Amino acid sequence: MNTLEKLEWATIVGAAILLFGLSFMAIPLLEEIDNVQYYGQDPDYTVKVTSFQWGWVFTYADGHESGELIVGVGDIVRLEMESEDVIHSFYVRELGFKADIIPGKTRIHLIKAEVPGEYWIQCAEFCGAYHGGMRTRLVVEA
Amino acid sequence: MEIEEVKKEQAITKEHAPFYSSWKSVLFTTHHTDIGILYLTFAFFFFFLGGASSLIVRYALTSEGSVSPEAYAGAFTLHGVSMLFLFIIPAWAGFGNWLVPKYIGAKDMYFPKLNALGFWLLPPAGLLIYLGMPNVGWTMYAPLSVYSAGWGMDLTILGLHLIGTSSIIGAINFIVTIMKMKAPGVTYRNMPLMVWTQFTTAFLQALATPVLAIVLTLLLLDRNLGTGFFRPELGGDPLLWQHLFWFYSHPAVYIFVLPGMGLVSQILPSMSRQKIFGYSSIAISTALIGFLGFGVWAHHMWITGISVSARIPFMFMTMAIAVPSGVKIFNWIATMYGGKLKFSTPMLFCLSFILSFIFQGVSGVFLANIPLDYQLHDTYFVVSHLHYVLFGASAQAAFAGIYYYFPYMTGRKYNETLGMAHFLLTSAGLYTLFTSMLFLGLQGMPRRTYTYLPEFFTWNVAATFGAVLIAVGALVFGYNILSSWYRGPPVANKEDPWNLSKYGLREWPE
Repeated sequence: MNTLEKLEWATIVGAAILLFGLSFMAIPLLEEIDNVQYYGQDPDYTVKVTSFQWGWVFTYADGHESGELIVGVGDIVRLEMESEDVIHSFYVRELGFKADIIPGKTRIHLIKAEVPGEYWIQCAEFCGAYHGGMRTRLVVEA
Repeated sequence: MEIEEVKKEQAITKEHAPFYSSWKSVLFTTHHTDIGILYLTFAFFFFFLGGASSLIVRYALTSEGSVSPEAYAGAFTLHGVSMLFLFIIPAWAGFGNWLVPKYIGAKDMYFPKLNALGFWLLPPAGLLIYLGMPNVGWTMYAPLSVYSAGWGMDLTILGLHLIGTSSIIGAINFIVTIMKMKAPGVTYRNMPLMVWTQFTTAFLQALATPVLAIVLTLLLLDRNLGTGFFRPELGGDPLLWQHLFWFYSHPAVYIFVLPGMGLVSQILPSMSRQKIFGYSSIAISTALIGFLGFGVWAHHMWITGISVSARIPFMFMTMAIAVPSGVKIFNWIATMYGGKLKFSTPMLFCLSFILSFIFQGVSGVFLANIPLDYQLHDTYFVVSHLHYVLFGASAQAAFAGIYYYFPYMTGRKYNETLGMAHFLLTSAGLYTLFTSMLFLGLQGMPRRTYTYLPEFFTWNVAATFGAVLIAVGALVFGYNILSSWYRGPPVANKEDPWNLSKYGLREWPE
């Protein structure tokens, strides 16, 4: 085995260790993202999210509806997301997450906004010609 | 013109009239080199059409409101469908047809008439797709594709069926040819690596393409006969589309790139003037990529809500596939180590191919990591990643292949200065374009949107600038190839235009 071949084997073993290590480290985080609790805490309230071509409606616990999602800062909000027609995807860049909403299924996700302000909620799955315009505000009230 | 050159010119024309000199021989030829040229001509015709539609996309994204949202959706769909199904797949079939029989010392393909059929299914397919003008994205996600009104979607499905049939026919022909027609002395242990990649690709096509046919048929039934495979209101599941579609389309990613790796594995050693380093590890990594490629499709579906326990094995498989890919990069670099590098146009494209392949590999590891994918999925990060594979790797390998084999195919030399210009424009354009997209993705710009937040404007302008450079380069390429094909200077030695024998190498087996 010459030097280059030794180097090649070292690269293979090194890359395998690195990649498998990255995968193992992702598992606990992944389980946390998809958990029904937010780092061990129960959600404070539920908001129903209805998506359609091309817009969003948010229904709160008291039956009140709005076109923008309004939450309190630090609240753990349970989103119950449904689609009326095709696949949409709920994406808030600052929260670092998106979730596909498949018609016929209810997608549950917990969010917690820690900084007051206004953020964009953007559809991230192509859902027809006006997909690009399908966005609204997430308002985090202090 | 020198007397010597006139003599060579006459020798070329006297040898035998090319098959394209009469319509009859174009339609009825079954010879593998002729079919190969037909495939390549078809492929590059759609390369230019697909490229034009990508320019419409870039124009729409830098001049707000000038392209309607409907036209924008049509343009990016047509770009994807053209480049994947009408450019890359036929281009690899073309190189395979021209090269595989020569590399294994066979006179022709095993089934020459089937071979011709495989090609002639493609022009009607291209016509159907362009008549259909699909506008739901090349992935055609249900139920959007089920509800898409009009005949367009149906015509597109039929066109894709024809392409699938052509793919399966071609794949079976390659498998049988490589298994049965190797000349004495050519074995699985020494056949050129280009043949190994075509062999693996053929297995992927033969095993995965029938699944594409199934899922397209289900869509056709849902659209026209009221079945409900993908319609939730009839008890169907939209996710079924994604599972079946990606079961084909992920192996298809390797169908798109493996033959390009094969070309690079031929060209790089020739231009480095020494033998390939680690023949068997490249061959084994090719087969391993092909095998693992069947077990990673769910990484296109990280955020669709499939269970954690289903996603974790796919994450490990996806990470694992980076290892054989890395092996190839190591071997290509080691092949150049200590060689007398000849920086001709094909060599430069091979070098840029390797760089792009590293870019896509690194961004691919980011995307494979599921928690990170919650942020990056369906953003321009993915668009950048896939273009580094499909343009940076596949298309650049096709350019390298065209330049490298041009003297073998035509007996003429292409214009090296124009070739260099093409290379410089393409690489300047591609790294500008796709790196801008990488930044847009990190900023959180979702893909396939006709409008976007003002903060994304700067990088979009940079991206469009890059796209224009690539387009100008492509025009230079088209002019160079056509004019050199017609009246380029004849090469001195058609059997060995790159002087390989001087360095103890040879192109074809003895």
